[in-house]
Amino acid sequence: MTILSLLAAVVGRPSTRAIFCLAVCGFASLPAIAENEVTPGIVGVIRYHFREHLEGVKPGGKQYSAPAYETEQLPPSSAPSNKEQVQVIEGKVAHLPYSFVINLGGKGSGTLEVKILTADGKPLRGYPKTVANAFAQGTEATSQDFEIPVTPKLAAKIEKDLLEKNQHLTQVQLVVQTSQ
Amino acid sequence: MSRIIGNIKGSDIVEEDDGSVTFTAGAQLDGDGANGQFGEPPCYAPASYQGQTLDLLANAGGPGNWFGVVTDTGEDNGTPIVQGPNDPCPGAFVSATSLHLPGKDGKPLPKSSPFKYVDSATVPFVVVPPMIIKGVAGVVMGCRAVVTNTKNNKSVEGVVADGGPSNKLGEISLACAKAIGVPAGEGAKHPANSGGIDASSHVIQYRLFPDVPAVVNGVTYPLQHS
Repeated sequence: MTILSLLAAVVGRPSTRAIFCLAVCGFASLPAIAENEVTPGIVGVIRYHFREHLEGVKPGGKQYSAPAYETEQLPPSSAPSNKEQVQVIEGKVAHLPYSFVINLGGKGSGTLEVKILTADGKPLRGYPKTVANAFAQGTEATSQDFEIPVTPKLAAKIEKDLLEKNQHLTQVQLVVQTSQ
Repeated sequence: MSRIIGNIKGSDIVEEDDGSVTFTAGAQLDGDGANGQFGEPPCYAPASYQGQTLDLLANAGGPGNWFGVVTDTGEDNGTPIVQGPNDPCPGAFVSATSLHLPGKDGKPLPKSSPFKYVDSATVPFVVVPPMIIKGVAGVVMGCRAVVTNTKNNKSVEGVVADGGPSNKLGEISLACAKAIGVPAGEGAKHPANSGGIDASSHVIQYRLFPDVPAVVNGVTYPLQHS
């Protein structure tokens, strides 16, 4: 007897049909319950904000462009084994000499912690930073932004390596968002 | 016959048969031009300013390099002009757009006037790169624009009001973002420094109508030769 014919025989009996339906409904609801208990994934993006000196602008005209930014993405988040309530991003980007450790849920449900380490392993000035209820439902916040201080020397290197001619770096920012 | 004016990071900029210009891109946010003209916060202000500002002051530059606010000399090494007691946001800086608006008498306003510029907080506007401004025969700055979010089919009438970098496509005012359901930095300290949709997403459709003056919220905008 094939699985399909066995299934048809079981479902075909009125006495077993109700039990079958309840079982199917129960299995279908299991993943939804489990997902609700897992902290959503997060993504981390570095934004390099800049303005461009526009050429050929008439006297009295706006000399610089509207602000804009280039982006670099940090690696995707993952949940440490046996810690489904926690999401962690660890990694670097090409144009910053820093290491990032971003942790959602490790310091309490919904708490976001951002650590930025310099090349010698020391915390970057102003970090770590912690935000409670970072993406709590019912609040307007869909992302959390963090300013990343850069020295004039590093800013010049970013302008040279990443930006185009006449473009001036104005700030560097980390944006953390939920991936759902 | 339609022709491709150029391509910026994978997005073709097309001049259509009817003279309109179309492209798809993401949507970064531009808070420039917001000076509290209609009761919303200004874009930039000194650190001592008490109210909210739409953008982080760093995005306007700093002493010796003021990229994003109007200065007394008109040069980036000048001193930023601060709004006076009779202006909409006393104490805030004056933020500019490329498009300049006339006074009620039709005459040009001084560069220090907050009303000379298009308010990002309340007027749906589009930012375009020089490639578009220089690439079509018609006047682009001040022309009609229609912006559509293909994820929710929300669409808004706007005006081309600011110039963007040469290698960027897809930037809109805060009012435009709100109108079409693009994240506009809701809940953020500086909304224009947050939100937006990534440039690579190609979910926002733009249609510009060079030589056609924009009419937004009953206001007809001037076409401005660049």
